[in-house]
Amino acid sequence: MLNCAEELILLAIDDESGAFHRMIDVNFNLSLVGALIMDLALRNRIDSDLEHIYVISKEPTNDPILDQVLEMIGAPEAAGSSAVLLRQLYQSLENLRDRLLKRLELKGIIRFTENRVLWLFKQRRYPVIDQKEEKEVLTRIRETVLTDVIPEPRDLALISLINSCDLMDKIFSSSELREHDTRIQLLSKMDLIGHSTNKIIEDVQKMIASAFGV
Amino acid sequence: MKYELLSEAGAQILGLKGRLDAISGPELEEQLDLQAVQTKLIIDFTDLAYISSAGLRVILKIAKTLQTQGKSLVLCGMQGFIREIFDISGFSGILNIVASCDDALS
Repeated sequence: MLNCAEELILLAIDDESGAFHRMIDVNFNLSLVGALIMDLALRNRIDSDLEHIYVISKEPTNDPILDQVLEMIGAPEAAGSSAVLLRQLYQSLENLRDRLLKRLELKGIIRFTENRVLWLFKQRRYPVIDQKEEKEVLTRIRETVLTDVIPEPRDLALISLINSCDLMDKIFSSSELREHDTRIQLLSKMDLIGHSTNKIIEDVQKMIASAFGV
Repeated sequence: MKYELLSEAGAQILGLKGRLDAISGPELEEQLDLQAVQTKLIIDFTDLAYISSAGLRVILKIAKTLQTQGKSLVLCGMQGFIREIFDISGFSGILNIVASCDDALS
């Protein structure tokens, strides 16, 4: 089974072109950080409330990226505040997207291709070669949103992040989004880490809007 | 965290005391036999002082298991910080929350 961050990156790839869907980069990268924190929470290494994220076990997960994040959250200089910590991690985790893509390649789920546009610009693509994992995630997410089933914590986390980086319209039709908007908004705030991630993304969007006088 | 389990009027009432977090949550999950719930489980939060996201996940898992078994879950006795967490996180929107144990029994 993939972790939340791997599932999120897989959902962000357009199956037809192998390119990433059009998204705001900051939102997506912050969501990936949120996904890693959720993965640690689901493995009982950290806990959180509305204000803080804290380590409850430093036992390694044997996942190099998660263990790096766990070490950073447990470091003395790490912020206790969820919002500040998420920003710190976002700034410190270099090449996170590439590292996650590499893992999906090693698992045989995607492959890397590179071609040139106008002989000058490199264009990387990540076609999905094994759709089993992606279909499984899509089925879970669609069932959670479109029915009244009580959600699994893991799916709540993912729904919250999918909403944060504006990928909902890649999973649901316009009519489904209209009909189930209330439930999507409700589910999106039910995970407290997702809640913090959403809040930071909203703050960033407000900052950008005010910078451009919108 | 401490908890006590009572039976009243055909329902089981689980009273939580202290903190429900990543330490106490899995313990509660392991010890609670949801098969033994007849038709309705009431969780009384009156004496719960703190709940974390791990605690919320445990409540969600209990609700999901009971839903699968065709049984119901009612939460009661929430005050202050606990109620705020349930409202802000939207848990109030999908779980049945009432003011008191009497309301939950009726």
